[in-house]
Amino acid sequence: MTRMAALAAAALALASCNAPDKSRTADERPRKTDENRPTVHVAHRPPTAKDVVDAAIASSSVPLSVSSTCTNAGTESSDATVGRYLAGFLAEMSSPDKKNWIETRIEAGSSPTGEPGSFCTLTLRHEDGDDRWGWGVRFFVRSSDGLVVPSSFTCTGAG
Amino acid sequence: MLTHHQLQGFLGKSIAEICQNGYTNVHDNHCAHFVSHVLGYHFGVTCQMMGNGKGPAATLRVQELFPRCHSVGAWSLRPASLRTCLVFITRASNVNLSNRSMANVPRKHVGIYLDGRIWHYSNAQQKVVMQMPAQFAQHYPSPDNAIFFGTLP
Repeated sequence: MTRMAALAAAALALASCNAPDKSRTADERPRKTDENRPTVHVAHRPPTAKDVVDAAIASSSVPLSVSSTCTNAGTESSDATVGRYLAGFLAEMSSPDKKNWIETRIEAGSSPTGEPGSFCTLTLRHEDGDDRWGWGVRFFVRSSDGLVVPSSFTCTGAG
Repeated sequence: MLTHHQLQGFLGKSIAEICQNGYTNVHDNHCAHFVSHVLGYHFGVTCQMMGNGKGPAATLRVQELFPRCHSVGAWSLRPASLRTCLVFITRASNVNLSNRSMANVPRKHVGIYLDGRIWHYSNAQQKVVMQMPAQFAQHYPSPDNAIFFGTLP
């Protein structure tokens, strides 16, 4: 699981660097929104666990100002995006002799405007005695087109 | 006013016996959650927001408790007259005393100090425990074991 965390961290870093994806055609590449962020769509409806991880990585530029639950949620006060927030905890999962895992949850539901979809949660977990935590994100995926709704992001976790 | 008797009533209880909002996953960290249920703090992110119940809301995050303390400082410098306060343990560099802020680093913990003893939620034991400050200081190994006081919000 530690290897998985490292891979996810690397993927997040790549995503945050906006590395060009030459394997996709122009139509498959993410489109930019008015806020100059790529729109993200999941590959399956309802999303799979892999889609949840992929969506979180692809949404790394979503600002933490999106939700009051993300205020001061990063491991550094300068953290301003979902990518930096998740990267801070992924970086804490680097010890090979500690227990780390990635948890995903997908629940059917409706957006505040009544659109059907899935509420997706990605949680990065760590346990080493009393050093125990689970931090992550929750977001809504619209059923009609698989859109990951940027404004739906919240930061989950306690402690 | 918080009493020894009240705190002893929580001793040995799991978070599932304390929280009525279903925010009781044993893999989550419940230290601030426990403190907030005992003292009635419900600012910032709460178990009612993140859970599924309609019980009393309680603050979940240590870094949201710390700035609400009217006065904070190094444990060794706490006023002698301070009989009850919050007690925080984390790496010293995670804390900025001048602006009363704490980063959301993984290794941080909080308990309730009253008359020489500390009640806190042991996430490893999944229950409320009571310790002397010297024991509490070993909650994390060095350098993550600097201790700070915070007057009750």
